[in-house]
Amino acid sequence: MKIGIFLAYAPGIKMSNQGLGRQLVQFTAGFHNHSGEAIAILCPSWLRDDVHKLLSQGGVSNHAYRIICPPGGIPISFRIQRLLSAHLERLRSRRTISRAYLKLKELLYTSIYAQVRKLAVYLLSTRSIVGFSLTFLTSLILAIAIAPVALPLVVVGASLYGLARWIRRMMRRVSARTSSIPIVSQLNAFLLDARKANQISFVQRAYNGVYRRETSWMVNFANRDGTIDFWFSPTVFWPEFNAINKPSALCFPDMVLSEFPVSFAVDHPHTLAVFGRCEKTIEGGRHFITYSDVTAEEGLERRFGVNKGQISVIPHAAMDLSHHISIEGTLDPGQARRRFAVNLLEGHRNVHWQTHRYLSNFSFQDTKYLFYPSQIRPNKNIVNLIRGYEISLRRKHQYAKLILTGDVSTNTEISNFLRARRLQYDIIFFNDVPEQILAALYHLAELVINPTLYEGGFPFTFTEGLSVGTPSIMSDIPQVRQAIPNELAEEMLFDPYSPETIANAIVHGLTHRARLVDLQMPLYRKMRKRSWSDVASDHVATFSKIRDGIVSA
Amino acid sequence: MSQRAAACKRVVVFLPQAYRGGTLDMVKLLAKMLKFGSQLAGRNLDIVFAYPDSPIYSPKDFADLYQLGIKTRPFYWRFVTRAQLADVQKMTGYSTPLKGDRYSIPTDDANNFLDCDFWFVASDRFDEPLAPLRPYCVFAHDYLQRYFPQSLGDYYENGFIQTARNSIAVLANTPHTIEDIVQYVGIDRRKTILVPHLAELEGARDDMSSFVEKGNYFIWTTNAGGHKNQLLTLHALARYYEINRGTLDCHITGVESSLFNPKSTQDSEPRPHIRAVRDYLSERPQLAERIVFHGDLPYQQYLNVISHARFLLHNVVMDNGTLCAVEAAYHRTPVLSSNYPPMRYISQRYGLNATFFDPNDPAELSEKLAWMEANWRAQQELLPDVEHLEKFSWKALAPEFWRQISTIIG
Repeated sequence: MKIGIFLAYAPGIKMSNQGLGRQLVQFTAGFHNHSGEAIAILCPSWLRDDVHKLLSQGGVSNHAYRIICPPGGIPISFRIQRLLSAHLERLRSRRTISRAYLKLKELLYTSIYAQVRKLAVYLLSTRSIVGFSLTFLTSLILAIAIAPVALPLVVVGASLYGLARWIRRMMRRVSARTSSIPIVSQLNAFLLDARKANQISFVQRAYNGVYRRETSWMVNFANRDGTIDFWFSPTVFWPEFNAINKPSALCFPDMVLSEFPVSFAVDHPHTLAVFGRCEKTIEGGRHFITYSDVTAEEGLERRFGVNKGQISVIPHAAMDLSHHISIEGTLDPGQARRRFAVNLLEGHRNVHWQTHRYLSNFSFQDTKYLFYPSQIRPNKNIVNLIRGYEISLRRKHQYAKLILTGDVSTNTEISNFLRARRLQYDIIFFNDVPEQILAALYHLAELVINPTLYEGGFPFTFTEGLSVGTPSIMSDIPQVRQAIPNELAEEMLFDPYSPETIANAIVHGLTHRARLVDLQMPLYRKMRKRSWSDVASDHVATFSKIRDGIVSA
Repeated sequence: MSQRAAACKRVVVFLPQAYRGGTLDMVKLLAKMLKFGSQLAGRNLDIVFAYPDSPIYSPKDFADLYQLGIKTRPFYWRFVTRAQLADVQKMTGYSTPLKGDRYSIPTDDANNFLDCDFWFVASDRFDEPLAPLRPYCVFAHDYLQRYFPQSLGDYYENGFIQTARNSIAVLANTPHTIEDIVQYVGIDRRKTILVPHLAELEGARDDMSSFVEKGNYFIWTTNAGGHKNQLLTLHALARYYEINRGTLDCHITGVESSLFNPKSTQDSEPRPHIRAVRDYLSERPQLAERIVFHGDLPYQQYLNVISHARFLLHNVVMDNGTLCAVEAAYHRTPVLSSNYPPMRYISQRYGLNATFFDPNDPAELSEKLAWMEANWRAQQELLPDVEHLEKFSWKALAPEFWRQISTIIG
């Protein structure tokens, strides 16, 4: 069976930051391994490079996929926007002086300053009164002669320099603001809700038009093309997908927006538009795939009234990060792996925290920490985790830091809370790290802690941690309960709404770490028996049933 | 290396701030242990005790050091920029990576202690990091701010942290502080040294008698620090008298502890936690009647009050532990302490068999106060004997201390 994957993210979305991005890697590799055919990835022109980068970084061979985009490359307006964003990003991160500025400085130095200095040295060291007088007079006359030209130049130069600095400061401000917009709001910048059409600006309307043209081409292509047997959308963000009149299915990972309506609707008002698009996609969807029964029943059936027969549940496989930090051929591979992982963290520190007053020379050699890799979203329950952590540190005296991977700069509530409680030195954020650093962070952690309130399936953190030898403690939610046997649940699950209980779980986990590893490893081994190839195989089998009309649509 | 250095190393022990009382005594003990310990090991270090140039000190304060052949030298701190320090380092030939913008240099108006081979810094409390001009170690007492954030608030203790990170070793006398050095300050564990915890009871011995009749009170040792949990202790005391029908009075002693007396005329604009305690007591005259404020007593009087108490109450959120507990045990007074790692360590090390309570739970404390009132005699039986406690004197522990320190002094 020839499979096509449909992606329609708006420009400006960093796919590497999204869980869906990582899944795309698994889906593409899995579908390819199973079918032996190159997977068609149909996407807007602005996603081509990102998708290619993501897949090649994920180790997916070039032969495993082909990217299909509207012809002619990226629209010029989006190219300009991309250049501007890249420039803003550079401004945000740049701390060093630009090369052009250094060259100009060098030119001014050699052409003017060095000559003036030579002259001064001559005047100060000469023993000839004639020589001194002549040189002095000549210099004075020369200075008076060029002053009418030089002085305005200096004034204009200084003003331009000041203006450039002001513009740069303004752009940094804009850059800081735009960086704080979460993915859903970024999406909304282009795809505004029709109900608010009267509030849409001309530029936004124009962008929506471009987006629609691009996705229309994609849908037309899918409908025209006779080579792809089945189309798959890894999310429900794009109602355009429903216009494809070939056999197809949508993946429904979760619906966090409807689980946390207050946080999203009040704190991120643009999410309503995204929700509207998702709702529309689900309404027009023919067949859905979820990762767990809970999401199928609570999410699709109860919340959106989707017929049970339209839903297939295909659980995830286990994750394995061990290859990122494995060191072969040493006498003590465990020690070598640990050293390598510490080097990775300290390398990250040296690159990203050179000017950080606390972390710039912090040694991670013997640091004990709890680890929660997650973005900062309402369902991730970060504030309760921080509260529980504080109790574990300050009242229960557990000597461990907490490392998170979200971007705290986008959330002033959490940043202020940390500062008010003076926790910014014990809670550290490794934001947007590559998978190898992620593997090192998992490996060196004492415990992986996952306090999530809602997920589409069993959280990946469990298998990611155990793949590098680190056990987990997790929130007691249905998506987790479904996967954890009762006898193990007592040892590792906690009530995510209670900071006191989270603190107790941290104490228990830290004091019984070895026991947790022993108890959790058999489950991990069992989970590992299900590979991503099995997941792909289940998908393909489901696709076949849908195509052949065995499953209702 | 100079002829002097070849013969014996010169080590300076710095008292970084102008402290008196227990802190001065403790730093002097470190100097004495280095001297005595090295002598016993056949090394006989040349020890210099450096103290802040302040009129609060007189030669009498250092008489015990002179007896052991320890020299003293006053100094003051001078601040230099990173660029200046880099220049100094170039000239001394001892250089380390420099991260900060400003550094502190100990200045004696001579050669600024560069005649010493090794610097032993008795505290990490620096506004600006110590300039690394000689290999040095630093003694860290506690990182209270990690557990009681109000102690530093918004202030970032760069001076403390960088002084420790630039050292060749950081010393502490409880495993708890060692953990904080590794986890909070961010230092490799191999750079930390757990030195022996000691209790100097020499001065307490003269007043010892085999039997002391106990008074109708317990002693609460505290001071004006916010981390001493005074208000919660008063909540517990109120419960102890009202609900548990406690009969013992509460005697309070410690530096600035009289500030909590609602009748105190000192400090017309007290800090919020002191104001809260005064207000609490003013609103409860019956409770205030049961409390006796001794203030900061001279040592012998303090020992007298402690020896007549039925038990000692110690309640803090966090610190590096209190020696009052050992002094109390030395005088057959059992200990009721808040439960936190350094006090558990001290209780175990000295065999105090202290009774513990949760410092965040006034109800538990009031129950424990009542329990101690009923069981203090049984608890007294569990106290270690005097001979056992005297094994922790500075002289007894100097060889062990030297063994650990000699590895870094070389």
